This record gives sequence, C-alpha cells and structure tokens, in this order.
Amino acid sequence: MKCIQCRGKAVIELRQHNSAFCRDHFFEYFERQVQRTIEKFRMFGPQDRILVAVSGGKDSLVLWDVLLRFGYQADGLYVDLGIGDYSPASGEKARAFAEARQAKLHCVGLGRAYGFTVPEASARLRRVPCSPCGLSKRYVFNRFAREQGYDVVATGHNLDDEAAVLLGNLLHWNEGYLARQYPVLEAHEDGFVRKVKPLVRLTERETAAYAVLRGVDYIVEECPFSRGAQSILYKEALNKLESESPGTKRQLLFGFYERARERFRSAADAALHPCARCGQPTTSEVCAFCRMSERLVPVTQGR
Amino acid sequence: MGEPCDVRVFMQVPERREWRVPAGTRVGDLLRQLGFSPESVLVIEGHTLRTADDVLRAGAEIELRPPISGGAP
Repeated sequence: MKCIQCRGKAVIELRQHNSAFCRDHFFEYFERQVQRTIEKFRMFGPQDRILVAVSGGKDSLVLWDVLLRFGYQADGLYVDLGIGDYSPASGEKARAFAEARQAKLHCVGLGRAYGFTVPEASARLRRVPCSPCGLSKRYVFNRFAREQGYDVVATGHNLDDEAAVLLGNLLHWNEGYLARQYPVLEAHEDGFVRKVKPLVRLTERETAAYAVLRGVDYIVEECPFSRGAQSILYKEALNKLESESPGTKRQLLFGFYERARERFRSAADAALHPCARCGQPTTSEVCAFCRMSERLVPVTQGR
Repeated sequence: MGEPCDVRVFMQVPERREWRVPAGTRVGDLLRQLGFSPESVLVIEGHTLRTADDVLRAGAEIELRPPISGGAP
C-alpha cells in the first residue's frame, strides 16, 4: 500500500477518505485536521490559556501533544478519580508525558479535595460509575479553569465519542443535550468556562495511530468500569455501519451540526445562576455536583 | 516455545491473548483468520503500523490493539 501523497510505503489506510498515508504525511493530515477544527470553530488563539483535560488515555495526551507542537499555551489537569489500580497507572502516564515535554500538569484528587471517590459514589448512590465520574470531571475541570484563570478547557473527544453520544441522545430524544452537542460550548457569564473539542474530526483509530507513531505512551487498559458501558455499545453499532459504508459516522455527526442542531436550540435556554453552595453555574438552586456531594460527605466535613 | 520462523501476535486489551503464525503471513489474512476487521484493530510492530498488504517477517512481535475506548465524556 502506498501513500497517496508521496507514493512511499503507507502505514495507515483511511477507508472513509479512500486514502493511505506514510508516517510523515499521516502526521501532516492529522495535524491539519486539528488546526482546521480550531480555526473553523474559532476555538482559541495563541494568546489564550488552555487547560487540557488529561486522563492518561490516548485522546487527551494526543490532543495535548498536538497543541504543544502548535505552540499553544496548553497546561494539563489530571483528576484522580480513585479507581483501583487504574487511576494511579493513568496518572503516571499523564505525569510522564508532562515531564518529558516540560509541560505543566495540575492534579486534583477527588478523594482529597471533595471527600469521595468514583467507586464510593457509585456504590452509595447506586448509580453506574460513569454517572458520578462524568459529573465530577465536568465540575472539577470547570471550577479549576475558572479559579486559575484559564480561557478555555480542551477535551480529547473524538469523532467516535461524539457520534456515539449523538446516537444515544437521538435514541432517547434528549433535546437539551442535543441543543448543547457541538465542538464549542461558549463561556457563560454565570460561570461556565468555554469548552472545546479539537479532535472532533478525527476517529478513535486515527488518534490511536497518531499516538503509536508519535511514541505517545498512553494507558492502553480501559477503565474497569467502562465494560458494558452504553457508549461502547453505541460505538460498536456505529462501527458496524461504518464498515459497510465508510464515512457514516462523519456524515451523522457533521450532518447534525450543519443541518439539525439549530432546531433544538430552544431546549438549551434554561436560565443559569450560581449554585447556592459552591457558586458554580446551575439551573437549580444547588448544582448536581453539590447535591451528589452532600449525599456522600457529611456537611461538616466541608469541601 | 514457538518455532524460530514463527511470528508472535498478541493482544493486551480487552483481554490478554497470544497466537503464533508462520512468517510470510499477510496482515490482511492474519486478521481474517482471527476474526478481526482491519478497521477494528491497529496492527503494531515496534513504533510503526502494518497495513493489510504487509507480509510478516520471521521473529516479528505484532500487537493487535483495538482503538475503542469508553466511559463518561
């Protein structure tokens, strides 16, 4: 198989683009896609301070790697969720990455800072772990970015992640989530920091390939709680469609952005105001994180 | 122990698995035999990737790695 650019030996075939690339032209292709996304959606500029949500997995480390290569002011934040052997191992990947590149990595331990871990929250609330995990990460990243003066939070969500979330939201007609599903969530005067997803044009396979070829050492093991997660079921369903008809995932997601999302806009208009406990933005009197936290941690223990 | 002309093929996730295949096997045939589509795994040798038409050399160590990952966004 030959690279479509230089006719050298290809290292990856991309059926959805009817293409194959050698190592160097794959890097060029990949980084061009990221830069194009940043520019098209006006995500941030060279003057902005970016906080990358780092998990130790391939997507977040690849995103951080590319942003540093581009010369952006990108620091990382790793949230220790307290998940068995998985959290220390993933935290180590994040720390090693930062050290090798002399990049700045912040760490917040959910247990130390807020008094509970994801497994504890899951057991005591009797909810699947992904629920308190997602809620906690979104809360901590927003709060940290706001308190430390970052202009934007960047996450490593890729095309597969976003297409799977879209499929789930469509299957359940979650109109409020559909209204907010976009590569950029604007900052809100009541306390939401701007959030962006620069990898949204790239598939999970492309991100993993970039990590391997660039030597980005990420945690290959999956979170032990992700087995049987609905997001994986949706990804597998979409991958079956994609294998029969390459480009399906892209058409679904970008077709939604361009042709359908606007129709759900009115569902996103719930008024925000500061949470009575922590001051973070919420549509209720007390935000979802504080409500969860109060069920888990005695009020006297504080946060 | 495999024969010296074998290729060792292994996976770490979602579970640890290992196979021995003869040198000279094409990657596309290997994936077909093991029941993987070329889109569902990366075929890794050292720090590079192998494509479906590549032929595996004797003594090679090949990792099959699914790129899929999950959990809360």
